[in-house]
Amino acid sequence: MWEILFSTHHTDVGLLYIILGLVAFMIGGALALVIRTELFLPGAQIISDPNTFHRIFTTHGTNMLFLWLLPFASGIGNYLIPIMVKYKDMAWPKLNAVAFWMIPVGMALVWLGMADFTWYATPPYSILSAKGPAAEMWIFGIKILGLSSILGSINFIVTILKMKHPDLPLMKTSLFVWATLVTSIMILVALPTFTAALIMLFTDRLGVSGFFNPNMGGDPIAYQHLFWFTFHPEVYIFAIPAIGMAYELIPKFSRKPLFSYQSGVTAFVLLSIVAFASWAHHMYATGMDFTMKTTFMIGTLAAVPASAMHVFNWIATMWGGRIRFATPMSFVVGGLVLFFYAGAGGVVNSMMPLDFLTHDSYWVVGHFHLFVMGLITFAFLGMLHYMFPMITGRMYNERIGMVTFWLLFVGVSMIFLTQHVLGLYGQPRRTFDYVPVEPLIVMNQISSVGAWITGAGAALLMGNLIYSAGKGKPADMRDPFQLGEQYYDYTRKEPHH
Amino acid sequence: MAEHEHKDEPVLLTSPGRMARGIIIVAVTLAIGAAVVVTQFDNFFSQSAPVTRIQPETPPPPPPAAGVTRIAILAGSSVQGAPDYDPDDAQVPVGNKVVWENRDNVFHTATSGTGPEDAEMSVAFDTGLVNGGESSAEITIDADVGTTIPYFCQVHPYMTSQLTIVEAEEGGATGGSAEGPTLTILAGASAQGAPDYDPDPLTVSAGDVITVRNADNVFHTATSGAPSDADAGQAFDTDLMEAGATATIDTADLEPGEYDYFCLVHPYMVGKLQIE
Repeated sequence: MWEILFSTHHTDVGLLYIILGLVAFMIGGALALVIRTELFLPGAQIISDPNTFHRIFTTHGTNMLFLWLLPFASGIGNYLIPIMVKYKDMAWPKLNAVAFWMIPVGMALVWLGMADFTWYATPPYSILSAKGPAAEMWIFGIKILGLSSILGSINFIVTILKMKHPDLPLMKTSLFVWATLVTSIMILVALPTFTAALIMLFTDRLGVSGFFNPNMGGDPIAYQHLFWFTFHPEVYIFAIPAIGMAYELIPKFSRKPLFSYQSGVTAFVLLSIVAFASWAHHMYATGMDFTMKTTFMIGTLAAVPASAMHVFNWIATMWGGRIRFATPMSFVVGGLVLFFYAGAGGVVNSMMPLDFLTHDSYWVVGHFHLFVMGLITFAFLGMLHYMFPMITGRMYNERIGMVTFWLLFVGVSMIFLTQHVLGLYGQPRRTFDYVPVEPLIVMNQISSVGAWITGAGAALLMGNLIYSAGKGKPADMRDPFQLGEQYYDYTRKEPHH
Repeated sequence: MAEHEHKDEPVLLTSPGRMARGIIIVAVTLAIGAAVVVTQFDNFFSQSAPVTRIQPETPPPPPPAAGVTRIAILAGSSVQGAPDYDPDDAQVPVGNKVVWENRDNVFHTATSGTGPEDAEMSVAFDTGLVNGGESSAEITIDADVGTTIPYFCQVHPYMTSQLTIVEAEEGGATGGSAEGPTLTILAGASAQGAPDYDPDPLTVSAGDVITVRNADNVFHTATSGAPSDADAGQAFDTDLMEAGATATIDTADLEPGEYDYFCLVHPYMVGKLQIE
């Protein structure tokens, strides 16, 4: 066990990333269940006061984005990128381990403090009213996690571009390599803005500066611009690795070559560029002028063709294939279906006039959860099942795998599709209580029941994986899913000899 | 490990014991974390932001010019139910004159009485019609301390309010002090083009001591002359005034006439002082 904890080998660090991600997924999911149970009925149920509720959903959001999505994608990247570019390890193994070990520190700060200002930490609340030291702990926790992301992405970029086998052209590498490359470059471009904003937020809290403090002549809206300049592209930073995993799985389980490699690469690059042209669509309601709103509306819609290229590519790959709907493929296709809903809802949000109806309502909550829980988490879980023989040498229980898929798919659809309608009925997001009228109560209850189903699915999934890792059937390591395809090189995972 | 013959490598399986050890490490870590969270939940959420501890309280709004109580008729007052007179129950120091500032864009009045049916209507005072954006004349109210006078708008009778005559020194936020003239540097004055010195021009009698009050949240000055003058600040200069600070200008040594002054920190802030 210690040889894994202190290892710098890419599969060991990858495994640590994956385990940390899954732990965060489960404990963050537990908070989500608390939130949904609280909202099962109007009024206080299991949480005594709104502040505690705010602290819980702030930690839930921060945790899911920075401790589940990012580390898990890095984990799979760590496992696969060196194999895919035919190099013995990551370019800088020690840096890789350092980047990982920063995450538990950031995680401890975020979780122990449990700040209350939402994962946006929007001023002036975060400067003037948020209670410390939770707020400071959050700021430094996110700072450390951001630094870890930057170190990790530098490592990926160098590994892919410089350590790639000389006989392997970049245009012959897996699309997952492209996804990781594009994501890493985006992190390097996007993150510095927020890194600066976090320091400014901290000095504002100390009172030595007043960048965002209106009492000192600062502008809170400036923070929102800096924040969203980082975190709108961040949406794609979360999504692109998931899309890369879908490219990895769909051709294999369709037993057909990928429909179009070039369009996949083109769409990745396009998406990474237009991701930077849409940040202020989060801020239509802040009083921007009409020209600016229209510009960002067009910038946002520019992401639609690139996303659609991926979706059509997947459908065209599956079309006419001999598809084997094993658990990994089911998760990916389920994620694809939810991605459709998320994308359709997103087009409504991005329309500036319609956004004023949905802004800060449960519609938005439903929309982005369909992305992060629907598309991204489903692709991640699919990839996790596919990688399971590679990681453990054993096979998970396929029947239980399919049950968990259906529980999660039905649960997630119930929670988040309903929340769109809740938003249209006017329920604001981040509320501890709501108006006790029948439509709101009924829809909140559907959503909460969906959450419990999802929770049961996730618990079953973890149970399946944990049990199978110890006692599962030894897998056929050359082709564990009987797809007639080359599986990953299993000998890579055991460097200790 | 660089070049293996992979075909013959044994497959290494995760063993139950190894898996259990891993789970124990994770579980113990989580348990320690949970113990800290549960015991420290309130402690980690107990201190107010440092900035609120070091910043002075927001200074109270400065008293308006001596002897005059100003009551605003807010924009949008003509809409029934909207906030109208501000402050709603003005405390007027005895002897003060009252000015209603119409910030709305339609006619309004401030007429004493409870409404159009009141037989005593407009006996105590009546501004007459005040155009949108203009102020009423200075109204003298002849009433004893403690009297409360209801008033309303003749154009929009649903706009109702009242004022109370109080002792001169009880004026507080809404009253005027009976002392010397006051020059206020308004909140937001540091933004170029925003209203800065109030009143502008300020007219005082020779010998008055002017109280300058910085109601903004940054440093300001009131310095005689213009930024390009060689003798700027010769006639009078408040020096740097912190947010919320006050300073005085003694006009005893100044010749009657008109003086320009400006802010050293923000030279686009200019004002005029007239000494009679």
